Amino acid sequence: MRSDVIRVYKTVHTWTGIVAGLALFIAFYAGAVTMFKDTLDEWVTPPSAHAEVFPLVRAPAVMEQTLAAHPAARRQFTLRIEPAGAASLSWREPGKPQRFTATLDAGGKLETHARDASNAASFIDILHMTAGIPGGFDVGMGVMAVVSLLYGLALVSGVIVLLPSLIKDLFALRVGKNLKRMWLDAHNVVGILSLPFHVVMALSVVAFGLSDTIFSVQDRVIYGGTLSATVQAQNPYYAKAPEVPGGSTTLVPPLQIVASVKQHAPEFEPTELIYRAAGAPGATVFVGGDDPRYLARSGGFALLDPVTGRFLNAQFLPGAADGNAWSAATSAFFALHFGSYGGEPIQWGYFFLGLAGAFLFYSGNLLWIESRRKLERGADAPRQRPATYFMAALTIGVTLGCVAGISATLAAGKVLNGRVADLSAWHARIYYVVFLASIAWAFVRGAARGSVELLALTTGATLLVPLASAVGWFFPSTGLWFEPAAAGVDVCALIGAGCFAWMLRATAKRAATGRQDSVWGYSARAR
Amino acid sequence: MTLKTARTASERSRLSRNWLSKTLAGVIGGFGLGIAASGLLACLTPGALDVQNKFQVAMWLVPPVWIGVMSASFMFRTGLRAWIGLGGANALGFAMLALARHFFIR
Repeated sequence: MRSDVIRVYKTVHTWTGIVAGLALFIAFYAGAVTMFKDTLDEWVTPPSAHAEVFPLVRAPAVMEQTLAAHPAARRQFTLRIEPAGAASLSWREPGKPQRFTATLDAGGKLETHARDASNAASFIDILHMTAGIPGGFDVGMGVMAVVSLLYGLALVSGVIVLLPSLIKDLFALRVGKNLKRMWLDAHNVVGILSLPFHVVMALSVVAFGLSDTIFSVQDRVIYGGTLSATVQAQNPYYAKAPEVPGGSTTLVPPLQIVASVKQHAPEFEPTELIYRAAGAPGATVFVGGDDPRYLARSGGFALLDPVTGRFLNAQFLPGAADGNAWSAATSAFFALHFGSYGGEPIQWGYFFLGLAGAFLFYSGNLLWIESRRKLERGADAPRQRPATYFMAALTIGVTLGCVAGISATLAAGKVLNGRVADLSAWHARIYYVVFLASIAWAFVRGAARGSVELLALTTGATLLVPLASAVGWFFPSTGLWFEPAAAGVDVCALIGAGCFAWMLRATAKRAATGRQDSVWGYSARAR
Repeated sequence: MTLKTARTASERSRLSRNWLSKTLAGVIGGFGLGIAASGLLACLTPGALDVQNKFQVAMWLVPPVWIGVMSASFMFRTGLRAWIGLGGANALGFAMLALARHFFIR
């Protein structure tokens, strides 16, 4: 390939990477953690806040009494079907942070409870979608879509730059004296081997973040103003059941809804029924669940009329005959981003691909710094360029601050439970304090000392997660608890803390005894 | 000698110039081509424009075309050529879309 082509794409790769890399690091690390959102939810939910389950056959009685006694539940309530044959009912009331649950006591009387559980998992999920960019959800998503355009450019240009030496470089990991060579080899092998995953992420995030913009342009030049009507009519989440004047508004038993979904798609396992406008004309029930054999959007779902039990939308019900090829393609786009197919092996696969992606962006920044290094000539270690000090401190502060902040805010979901009034506000406070303080610390102390100290913070913050569970196990009187169903969170955090501790040792050793003509040496001085 | 090295240097980096102009041409021209391509997909494939979820696939076609064109825009020798090339491609794309809308959509 012509050298001028390589040169131009090398420049494109460098600058798109350096601009987009740190936001993508946050999105990928938080996204990897989010793959186990349900398990994280269980980890932060105290035993007392678990909703009582009742046999699914008793659901009609619970629903009827709840809707009569609590009009707020009519707007929307959720019937979770888990474990099989059992159900729990919950809803939210406007302006209140708690979830309310209902069941019937032995005498058939309605019992309701307010459940105050942490939303740490949702907080981390939103962090994943917006990279924590302030200004609200839509701004964050929009910025991340633009970041993803740069990310797409970085992928194309990175492949072009690597192509001429692909065969030679791909499986070579030259560990040795030439550290830059080793980092470059690692960056290349991770980038090329997980390329399909990255292509999926780059394209889908542009579609998620800019879909409204694209739709509004398409509406003008393609659809002649009819698009919003189409989008509304085909919305698979929200619809209005056809209203029959003077018709009944009595809900059919949930078992009948489940049965008609199963009849449509025998292998699909419904796990939750979300009722909207129950008791009013036009009510709907959204049935979510999973069939791991399909590339299904969010695992698969359908929308039904809860009064007649008829389907309103089954385009995204995997295995049903309703969906056309366009819906199947749409399902695949969503499923490939979220890993909502193939069950647990895919979930773990996405977890490790997400962490590998975070490594890719981190190593990209390291390579930028190493490429600008001034080598030692003579007795004194030379001063490195101010830009490399800046980038090194920013990289360390953002990446380690993000990891430590996520660990700390998750641990707080257990430690602060029942001790503070507004836990969700505390999650944001804790994350941003740790994150911003880490960046400030990295700049004050410099990248060499800062990386060692922030790795100690990250190790400690991550250790808090299994520690909180251990304290709950041995001393339940503290109000903490151990949740066996979420023990995987404790084990993973322990392994993670072990990895950070190992990095801490290696980093401290390098800073003290490694070459001093580097921003990573203890004798490095800025300015 | 100096003339020769200067020439090889300029030859080696003859693509590395007009960054702003090429990038803008790629961003704007790429978006336009993405929209035109999605319009052609929506109009020329079987079924009406409002077949279930066809609009979704048409929207999802925009990002790959957009990013592909943005990436290719750096291969133009100058910024002006990028604007002319991508402008021409857009004119062609939207002309085809207008024809497709005229003949296939009612």
